[in-house]
Amino acid sequence: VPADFTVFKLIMGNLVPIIIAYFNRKKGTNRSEDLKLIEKLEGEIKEIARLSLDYWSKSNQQFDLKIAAERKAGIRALFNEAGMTITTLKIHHINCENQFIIFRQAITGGNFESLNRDSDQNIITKINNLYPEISANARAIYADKYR
Amino acid sequence: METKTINVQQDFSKYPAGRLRQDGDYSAEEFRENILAPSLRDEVIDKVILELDGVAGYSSSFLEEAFGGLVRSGVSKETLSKKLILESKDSTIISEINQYINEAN
Repeated sequence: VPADFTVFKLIMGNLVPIIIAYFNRKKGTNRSEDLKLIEKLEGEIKEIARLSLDYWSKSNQQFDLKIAAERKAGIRALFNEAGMTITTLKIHHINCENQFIIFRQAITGGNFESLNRDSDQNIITKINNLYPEISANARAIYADKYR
Repeated sequence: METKTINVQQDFSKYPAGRLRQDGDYSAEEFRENILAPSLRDEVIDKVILELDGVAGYSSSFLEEAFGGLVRSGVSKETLSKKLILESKDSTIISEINQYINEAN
């Protein structure tokens, strides 16, 4: 057996397990980071849903104007944060962007900011249906990614 | 020909809100008529870079009125496609704006 081949076998025998261990560790880190992002998103959309359900269960006439303004600002700010989380997840190939946009449109579209806004049972139903769907979809894509 | 950069936070408001002027200050209608449309209609300007980050959030009603409203007010989709460059770290905002531009009549 040529000496070169023995050296090659020795190097490969030691190097391959190191390379495999490196990629396994990297995959584990990515999996953990993705899960943290999904949990962060779930917290954000749950809070959006909580504020929005309260907001849409009352008309503007039933709100103190200052409190209504605070609710709207809070909802917009939370969507701002959640949009960044959705974008990061998309970069990680966990894409829930379309559902998220539908969720934002349901809550902040229409006459969300108009002064003569009424309470709206249809929007309440949409909120209750949509926010668990975003979470379920993100987790399904995650499970598929790391299957 | 020149490029114009519009930063929503600096050139309009950190708190854009509301669809119409009657909804309060810094509405989409005000943004569209005072900030966006003049630059898009100016023939000397060939690119409008719109920096969307830095504000305290956008509502869908604001985005729809500002960008869908541009098409309804006579700015063609072709002009928007050639001239308007949207910049944001939040890809959902850009996707939603493009949806409103594409769906507006």
